Amino acid sequence: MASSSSSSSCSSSSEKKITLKSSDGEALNVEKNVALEFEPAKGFLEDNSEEADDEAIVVPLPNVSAAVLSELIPYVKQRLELSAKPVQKKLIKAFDDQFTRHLSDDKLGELMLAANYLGVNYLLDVLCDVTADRIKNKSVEYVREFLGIQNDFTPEEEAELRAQCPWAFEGVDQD
Amino acid sequence: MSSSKQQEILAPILPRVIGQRDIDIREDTDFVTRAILLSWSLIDISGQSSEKLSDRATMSSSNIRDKDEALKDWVSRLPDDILVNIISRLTLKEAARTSVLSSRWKYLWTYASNLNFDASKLLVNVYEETLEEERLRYMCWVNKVLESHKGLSVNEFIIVFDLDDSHESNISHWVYTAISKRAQKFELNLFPALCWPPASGIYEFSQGCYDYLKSPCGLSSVKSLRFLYFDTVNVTEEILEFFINNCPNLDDLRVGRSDNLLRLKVVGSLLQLKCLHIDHCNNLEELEISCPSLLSFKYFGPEIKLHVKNVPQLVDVLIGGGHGIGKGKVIGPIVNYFPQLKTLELHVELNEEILQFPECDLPELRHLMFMVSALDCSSLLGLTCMMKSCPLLQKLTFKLEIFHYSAEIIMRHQIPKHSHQCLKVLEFVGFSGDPVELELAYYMFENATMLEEMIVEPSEYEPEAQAARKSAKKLEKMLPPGVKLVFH
Repeated sequence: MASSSSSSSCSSSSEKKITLKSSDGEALNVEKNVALEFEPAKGFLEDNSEEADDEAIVVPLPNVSAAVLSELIPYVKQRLELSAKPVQKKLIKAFDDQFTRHLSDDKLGELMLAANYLGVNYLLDVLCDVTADRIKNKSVEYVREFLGIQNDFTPEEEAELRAQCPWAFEGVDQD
Repeated sequence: MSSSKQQEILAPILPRVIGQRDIDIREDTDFVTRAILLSWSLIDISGQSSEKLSDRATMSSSNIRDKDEALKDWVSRLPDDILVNIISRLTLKEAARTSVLSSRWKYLWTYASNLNFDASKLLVNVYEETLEEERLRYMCWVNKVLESHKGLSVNEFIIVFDLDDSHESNISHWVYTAISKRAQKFELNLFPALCWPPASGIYEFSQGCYDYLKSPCGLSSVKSLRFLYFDTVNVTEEILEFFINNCPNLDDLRVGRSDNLLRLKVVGSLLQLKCLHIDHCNNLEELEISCPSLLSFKYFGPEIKLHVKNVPQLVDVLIGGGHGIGKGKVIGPIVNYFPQLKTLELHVELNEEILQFPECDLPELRHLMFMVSALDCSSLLGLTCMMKSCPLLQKLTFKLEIFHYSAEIIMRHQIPKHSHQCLKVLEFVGFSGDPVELELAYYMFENATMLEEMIVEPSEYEPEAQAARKSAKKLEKMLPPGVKLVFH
């Protein structure tokens, strides 16, 4: 997968490798420092610290597919390398922008769920930013559709809520 | 999916991905970072092309309909704090609209961590007759939002509107709320839209608020503060020093237009303060700074007794107002505090006199900016004398504000030639293309032998902007070979 090709092409360290097992049963080899960025993996490794050979450990990640993991792994790896250096914040931002610029709406949701499950907070922040950007100044109906929210208010209840803060509903752009 | 299979899929995609991706690598990016960004662009397959890739992967392993179903409700599978994180990145208006999305969302917005009440845009179209009404609407809005807000702590609390001392009780209530909600960034900017000074006087930071700050509860809340901006708020030395000495994380302090500020001490070896801006505090007499963490100091105001020591990290300075150059004054005593400066901006009031520059030494300076206000078209060449003190200068900026234009240069000075070996960028902001500006540009073309770029940002006003466009054409013809003209 992408993770293995990337680690062979730009790995500079002689980091130990760990195997992650995705929800769809694929095994992915990653550097230990990358695996430690994922909270469930970190917990698993701590619980199994008496195991002498890291190479033998297989960390199950039953909530993330191989496809999503193989996108997250290179991102986290590069992000780690960037933040280890005294680089300016705007460079990290440029890097994050590159990662998110072309994300489809579906992919955004998938990554958000994965980042939440894996506890990668810096990625969550970036994805929250992208989500906010995509629902900025949109109508309630658009936002509902975009986020897949089922409206469970009666029309009367909704009208009452709107009346509570009329200032929020003035001057919304066309979607 | 095996890696060889992926190679197959990647093969046709890869050149396209590389070709499409705009990699944002700036000149100042160091080599290693460039390498990282470049290598990233090679392996990053998160773009549109990669969607196909992962879609195929998902399709091969699970039913596509299942996937769609699962994805549809991704938001419902996220915890509330992430939804609040998203809401906090919206404006308050957008945030409040999420209350009608569904019952789960009804109250989420009331935990938004950014309370930004900057309504200065509304003031652009305000008249004297409508101002009071707008103020009432504004105060009512802020109070309503604060009434609903349930979050115990906020990142930012920002008030920007035209209000004065007659609205004291509301404003003091907001100060109290901002501090008790442990805001990290607190801005209180009451700059008037129509006339100066504010009709009922500048809002005075109240004794009640100060008493609250000093209480055990206030003292513990105020520790969260990192950014503190006051504009058009009368705040005394005692109160500012309270913040400086009791907010261990205070990074950035900006104070503008406080008539009550007579003296200020920013002194302490443990301070974390990185930016200090003092702007138009017209009664200030004395300022003492000793702050090892300070990176940026901007001062615009009357001439004061300035004591600066122990600022080893200070690299960015602006000096303007009474302390600027002009009216026979020199800036020497100030500039000599800071031999380590990297950027320096000086406000120059240009009248019909010969500019005096002190002997100063700025061996590290990379960017020198002159903010020039001139009553007439006196020659600007005198300013270039200063550059002799800055052997490594790379960028020179002139921000121009000339009140009376004329077709001719009123005063000329004989300026000897001086070669500037490092200067690469020359920038004019507020360019209107009159003879004094062209004279200066030609002088720089002759003397800055390594010049690479000239940036011209025309004046915002007509007809100057039109004249600027015409002159830029003239300028283009005069450009030495290898120099690029960038006209905004």
